[in-house]
Amino acid sequence: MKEKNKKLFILFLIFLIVLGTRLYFAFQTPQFNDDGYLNYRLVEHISETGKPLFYDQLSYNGRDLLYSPVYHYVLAFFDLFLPLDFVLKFLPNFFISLLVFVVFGLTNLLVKDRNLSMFVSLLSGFVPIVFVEALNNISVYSLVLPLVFYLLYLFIKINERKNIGKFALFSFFLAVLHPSAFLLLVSLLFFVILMVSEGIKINKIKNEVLIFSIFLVLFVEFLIYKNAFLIHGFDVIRNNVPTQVLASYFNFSFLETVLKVGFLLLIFGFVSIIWGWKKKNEEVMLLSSLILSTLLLLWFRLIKAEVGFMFLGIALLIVSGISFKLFLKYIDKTKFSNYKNSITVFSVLVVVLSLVLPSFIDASQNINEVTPTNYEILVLDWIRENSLPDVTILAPLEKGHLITSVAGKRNVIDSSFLLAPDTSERFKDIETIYSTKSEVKALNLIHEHNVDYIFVPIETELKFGKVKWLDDESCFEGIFFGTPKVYKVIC
Amino acid sequence: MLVLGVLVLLLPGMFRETPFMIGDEGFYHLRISSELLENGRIDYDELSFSGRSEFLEKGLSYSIAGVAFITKSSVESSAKLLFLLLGVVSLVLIHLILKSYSGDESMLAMPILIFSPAFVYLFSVVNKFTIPVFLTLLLIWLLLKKKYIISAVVFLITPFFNYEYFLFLIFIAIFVLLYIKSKKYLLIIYSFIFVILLFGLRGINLNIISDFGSNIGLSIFGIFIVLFGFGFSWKKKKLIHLYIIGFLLFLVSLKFSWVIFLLNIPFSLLIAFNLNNLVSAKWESGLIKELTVLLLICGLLFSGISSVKSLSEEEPNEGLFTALGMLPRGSVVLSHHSNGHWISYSGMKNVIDGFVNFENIEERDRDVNELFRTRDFNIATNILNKYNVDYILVDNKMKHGLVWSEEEEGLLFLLKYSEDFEKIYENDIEIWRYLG
Repeated sequence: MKEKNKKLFILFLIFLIVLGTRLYFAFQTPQFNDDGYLNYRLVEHISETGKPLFYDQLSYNGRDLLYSPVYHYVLAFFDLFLPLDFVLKFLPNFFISLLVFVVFGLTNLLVKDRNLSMFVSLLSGFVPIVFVEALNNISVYSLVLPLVFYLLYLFIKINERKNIGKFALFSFFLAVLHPSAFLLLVSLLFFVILMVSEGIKINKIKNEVLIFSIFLVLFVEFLIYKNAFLIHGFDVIRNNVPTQVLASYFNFSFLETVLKVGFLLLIFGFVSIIWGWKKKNEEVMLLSSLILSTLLLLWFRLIKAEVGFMFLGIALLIVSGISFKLFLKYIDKTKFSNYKNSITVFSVLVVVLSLVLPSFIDASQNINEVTPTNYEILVLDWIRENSLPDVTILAPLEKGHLITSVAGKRNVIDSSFLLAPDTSERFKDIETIYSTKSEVKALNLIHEHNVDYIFVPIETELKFGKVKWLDDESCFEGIFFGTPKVYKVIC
Repeated sequence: MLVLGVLVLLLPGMFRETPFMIGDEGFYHLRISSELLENGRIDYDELSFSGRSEFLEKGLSYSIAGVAFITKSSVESSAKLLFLLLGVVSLVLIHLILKSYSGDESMLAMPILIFSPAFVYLFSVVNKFTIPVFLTLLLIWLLLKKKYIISAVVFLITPFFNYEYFLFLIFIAIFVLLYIKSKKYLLIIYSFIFVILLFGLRGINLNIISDFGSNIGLSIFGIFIVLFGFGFSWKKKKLIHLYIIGFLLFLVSLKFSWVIFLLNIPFSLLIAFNLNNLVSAKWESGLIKELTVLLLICGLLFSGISSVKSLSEEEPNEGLFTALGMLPRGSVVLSHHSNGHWISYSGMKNVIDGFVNFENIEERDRDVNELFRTRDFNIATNILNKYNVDYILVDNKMKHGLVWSEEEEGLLFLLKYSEDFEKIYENDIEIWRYLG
């Protein structure tokens, strides 16, 4: 009992270390990542009105929004007794840190070694892509990721009666939370295919739960995203992303996978999968079905690369536990067994450094590069206070949510593409406005999109160079000349 | 069950915000029915393609005109009444047919069928397949009752409603005959030739799932139930005949979407059988069983109700007829071919509509496409003069991808800047008068 409490204490300590590290980076800046401002506004709207925002007057100059507001309600609930900015910084990091417990449970099922499982659970807090992607952008994946892996844990232990109800409840929660539930659905289908191809019988209760989850996910997703399915049909998986952005949105390459997930994780992970398949290990089959379906979706560009890498990273880390165990066992059989402790410490250091260092470097970069500067916020605050309420601000795609959330004004485009009007045309028009040398051409497009202010961030100037026609003082009144620049359209 | 059927068939009309019927080709049949009611016959259509003597099969138009004559109501109300009656009688026929095949289990198939998107479409949108499908059901029932002479009469009147369907029926009849006579090799050769001929035709229709936006489609939940059930049926050697019929009809529906109306019947039966199997099977977890069955029922209902909802929001909308109401009857209006039947229904001549059986259709289609694409004033006026166009109708869907995607693309540029065009109406729809 005492031993068990000690282990629990250590696990809790690991959780605190991971959470503390994340919060250290997250609170380096009072702002959020550019994309995080969409969720900021959606949560803020629920906090103020109690209702989700389904018609957004500011985004795309007014459009329908289609999303599940469950995550935003969860966050808005805590806003009842804590400041909103604190909630939005703290809670997503708290949720994603819970992954530590889930990873511990899953790894322990695989390797039956508590110490090793704790080591893997510590590492799970520092997988670079997960560390950065759910750090400062109020990402729904901070809740989705632990939930998906918890469901896999429950699925493995479904023979225990108490887990059936839990599985039904949490799979429903995942389905209403986010369409990522489809990934779980594909993984479970893949699991069936793998098991059948290996001639392993799936037990009856698992079959039943499989059928239930497939219909549950289908039903809930069709219920929530009915309009998107009706309008976009099968193309809904492309998320209505502008054609010009498709390549980078669903970008996937082997090199990027290695960089984002980590070379060592890939090696250890795939060695474990091969071992698991050879031994016909059902747990490994389940996790490898998640890995394979994620890889497949990435390969066919049906899932955003960052999202795929997050699932891939955690799943590979969990199965890596097997390789770590095999490695330690192997050392026992060699002449180096006398140096086992030194080798173990050295290996642990290598693995930790290969994950922790990149995580910290990426996190610092993320805070500096993807988060708006104080001056940007100052500029947008000025616009909020000093311009008419229904003006439209032209800004590049990446800054769209910043315009609606911080300045509280209409934008022409942002990254919330589903059901958005003419995304490809708008993207092209904005690129044309920033890149053209012809003032006439730019003015035509500016009037077409009813633009009142032009926001020129440093990223745009670096990409397209100086926008020379903005020097025409008879048409454009310069308001801010630093980075970013802001001009008012006066002709 | 009949009450439920009537209720579901009335729903799209009840949800609909405009008094106009759903769909486009139905408006052609309504117009021809009016002509028939007025003049007793029709030899020349002045409005379609600005005048033509080729017609679609007139069976449906005569039927609507007949009901209007008997009930002394408008062709629109008569069409609604006729289709509702056909829906109800078809339900009775399907029930009688299924009862002889599967006994009481057919009762479970009926609500599934009633809530299926294809069934709702078939009997709530005026289309030329409803009567042939009804006649097919009648034919099957008469054959089961061994009323061969009446069934031969029913068979022979089908081409008056749809030639294409009649050819399909002949193929089915030969297939069934070979099957009954146990001509195994002939059946295989015959099927093989049919499949080759079928897939030799151009085009393939993959839009067969109603939940992905197809009006004539199958429910995604139904598809999953049938696919899951297949493994079970294969092991138990049950329902294999029904699966084969379903698969063959599915193959044909990839080429001819209207075959889904027929496929829908064995499909509903398969869903019913599989649901029944699912409920009667012993499950390890009672909770999961109850939740799964509940989900499946909700899923099937969801597909049906969402297809009712989307049908009720289908075009045409009132704005189009308001705009067209401003134009003088008999004038020539150019628009996208999908607007053609509505233009002629309003009393104007269209340049092109949804029909393909017109002698110069390819030339006309080419000209209209060239006109929409061109920014050259001379090319545009030549084409407009060639077809004596008086007005050009542009709607939102044409400006957003159907024809153009840029603000001043092709003809839109000329409409905006040339003095030969005058905008006389602007709302969701624009109408331009050609002054040349």
